[in-house]
Amino acid sequence: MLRSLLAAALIAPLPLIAPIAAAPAMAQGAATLTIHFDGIEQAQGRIMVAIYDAEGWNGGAPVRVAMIDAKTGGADVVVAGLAPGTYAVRAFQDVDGDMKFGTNPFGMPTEPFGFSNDAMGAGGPPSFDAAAFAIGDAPVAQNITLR
Amino acid sequence: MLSRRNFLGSGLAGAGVLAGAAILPPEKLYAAMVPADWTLGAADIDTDVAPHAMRLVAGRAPDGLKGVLYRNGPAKFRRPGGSATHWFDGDGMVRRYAIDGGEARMAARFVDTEKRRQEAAANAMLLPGFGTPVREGAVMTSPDSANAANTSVLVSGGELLALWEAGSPYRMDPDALETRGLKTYRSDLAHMPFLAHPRVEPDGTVWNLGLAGKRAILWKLAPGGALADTQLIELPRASYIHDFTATARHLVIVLQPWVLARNANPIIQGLEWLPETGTQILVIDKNDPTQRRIFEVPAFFAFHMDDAWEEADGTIRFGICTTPEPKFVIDEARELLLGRRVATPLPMLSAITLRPDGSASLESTGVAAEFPQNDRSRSGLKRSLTVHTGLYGHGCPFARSVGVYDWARQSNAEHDFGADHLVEEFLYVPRGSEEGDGWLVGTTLNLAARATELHVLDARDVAAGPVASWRGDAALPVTFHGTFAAG
Repeated sequence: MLRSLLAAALIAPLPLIAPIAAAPAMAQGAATLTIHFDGIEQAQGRIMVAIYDAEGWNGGAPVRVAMIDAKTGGADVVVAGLAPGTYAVRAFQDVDGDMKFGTNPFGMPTEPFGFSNDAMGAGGPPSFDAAAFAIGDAPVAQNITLR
Repeated sequence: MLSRRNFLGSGLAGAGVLAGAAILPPEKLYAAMVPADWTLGAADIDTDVAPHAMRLVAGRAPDGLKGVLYRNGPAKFRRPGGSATHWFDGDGMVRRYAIDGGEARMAARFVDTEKRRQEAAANAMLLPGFGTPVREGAVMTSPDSANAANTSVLVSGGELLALWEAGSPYRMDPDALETRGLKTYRSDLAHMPFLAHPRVEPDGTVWNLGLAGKRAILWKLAPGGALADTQLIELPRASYIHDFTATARHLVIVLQPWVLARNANPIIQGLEWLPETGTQILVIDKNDPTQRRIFEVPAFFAFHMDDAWEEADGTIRFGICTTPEPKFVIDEARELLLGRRVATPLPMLSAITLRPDGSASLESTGVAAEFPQNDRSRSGLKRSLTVHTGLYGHGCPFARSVGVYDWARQSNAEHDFGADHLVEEFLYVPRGSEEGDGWLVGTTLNLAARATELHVLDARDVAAGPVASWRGDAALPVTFHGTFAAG
């Protein structure tokens, strides 16, 4: 019954991430984004990261994707070359290595996930505004707890 | 009962003088004339109850009865930043009553759920429930974030499972009642719903359902507790399903006309009562879920049924506690948390018969009853006794009697614990091999003593009342369901 509160919308916009993230060309003057992941309970599979702008957040394409091996005690991914602007991140741990965000037969998440600003919706993904952060000229750090 | 007039009369006559103490009875006698405060039955408990010996207050412990009664029910509803708004949404507390060597001990612990952790940290009830809305600050990563683990228990695979209905079982140590975490039968089935009313065959095979609107998962566990099989099935309608029943060969799913019509917060507000559509009863072959039949009976609402059985010609029979409408769950179970009584129609023990020709009937016994139970060693087999709670409607939302209905004789025997007791579900514990040769084991909340009591009755002489009663040191709120682990 609570399934409805966790509409598939929570997961659907998390894209299938290509095995190799496209290497971005370094934009002139763009800052580096470092994302630190906590809450990793098993060192298995990779953390799949998707970075969105406002336009892509609700079902569109991410502007960048990245992957990093899951390690207990935390993992960091560094993304360089993002153009100045406002972004938000969706991430999940691909525990079983199938490149997909795992869901049970009723569509509920079975793999840990998280969002930038550690934003968490009650029964769906957070709004772009809740997860949004700005990228300017200076390096930016984000902490995401996978849950 | 001592009436006020008689007391004044005898006091005056006995004393022979108009002394104040003789004219008016002591205050405690007036207090005894006011209905007991049933709100203790839905009060908050703030701490676990340490294991302690219960005091024998009546009778003596029956020879040969040894085992543990586990019970589960909500025991924390209110926090300063926001409270549960429905009886079904309090935090699950598992109670353990051990009977051994003529003595009884009790202990109780809250299930250490994610819900309880979030809410303790926020000092508010945040997570959504059946009738409690989600509040700002709730973190929902799966239905299990809101899992109250408050409805029943199942001993399975050497563990005690605390059951809810919209998420996973919670694993507990059956002795220390320590919470071990969620039960995940297979990683791809994490967070799938598992009803609080599994049906257990005499050999220990467990059947259960989990619901998501019209979709259902059918669980089958092997006698040792391992996952044997799952099937995904589609139901004809998105009825609210709390319980189902089973014969040796079939699962019997009552699809009442209380249907999830829309997503709402809380869930109960998305359920619509559509009596004109009647009640459907779906019968599914345990060995081949594609083999199904649908029977139709007039509209009713029900939470609970007893174990079904099947006659040689295929006729299926079972008992069910029905009300004309879902009034208790919508109104009374909400208001009782506020200490308010809303009188709603009494649940009546009724018989459902599903015949091979496709016809079906629903007949009331005329006995007000809930929490139907039976000899679980006869589940799926022909039998004639159903244990129940009764005497509802006496000024409080809870029962005050335990009874046994005999379907063969069409007779009912009950023991009235009196207005001071809130009576919880009683379980049938077999003693000999003959049906009826057994004990009824259950608990009441004694409002006068402000203590939870454990009782044993002889199933053959229920009206005689308990053969043994023990009183614990704690007054715990009324529970929903339990199980008895013999030995």
